[in-house]
Amino acid sequence: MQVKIYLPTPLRQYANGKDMVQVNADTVGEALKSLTDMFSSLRKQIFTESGAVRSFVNIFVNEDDIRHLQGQETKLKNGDTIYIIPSIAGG
Amino acid sequence: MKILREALGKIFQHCLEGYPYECCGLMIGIEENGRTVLDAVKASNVYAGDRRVRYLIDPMEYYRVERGAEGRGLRVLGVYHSHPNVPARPSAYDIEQFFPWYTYLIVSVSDAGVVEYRVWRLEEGGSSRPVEDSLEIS
Repeated sequence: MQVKIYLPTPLRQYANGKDMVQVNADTVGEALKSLTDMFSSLRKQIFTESGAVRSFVNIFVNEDDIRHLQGQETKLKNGDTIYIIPSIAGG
Repeated sequence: MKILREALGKIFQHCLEGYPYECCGLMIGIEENGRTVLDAVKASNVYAGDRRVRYLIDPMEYYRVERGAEGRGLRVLGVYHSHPNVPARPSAYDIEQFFPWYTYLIVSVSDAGVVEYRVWRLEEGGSSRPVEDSLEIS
């Protein structure tokens, strides 16, 4: 499936300034792997050492948080957009 | 960091209107010879628990603000939020949630008004230590 991945401002410095990257993937995990294979310095920004998505990074497929879907196993459809969005929170 | 007086005024007004709850929003502007905040965009605090001590911005609201800023030739430079009745220093939870690269403006407010405001960001090089930045009003 051909999908697009949206990168927020702070992560674009690790992806040659791109805000959108196109990849071929069947699941969210595959898409993120393709992205981080292309831009290896993004890997530690998005994933922990054990391969989990960092707690302050939100991953959405279209408008749905993958935490409420099947996580990185979430299946993709042609034309889907994956949004990587920083968690903006505090106290 | 520099900030336009109007943008800072907008932030103060939002933080005071929302008192005693925490208010939050995004600072947008340009990065050329340092950061200059040209505008502030209010966001809803969607934290489901006690909003006097926590804030959370809906991720898709963040996305819409970021795209809106880009449509104006600007970018999201950081985040502001209020600290009702506590100093403008990042809490342990703030530090845990700080995202690299962003500048964080914290506004301490009380029922008497704005008490103090300070800006912070994570130290360069992947550190999780916040360092204070200067704020120049222009």
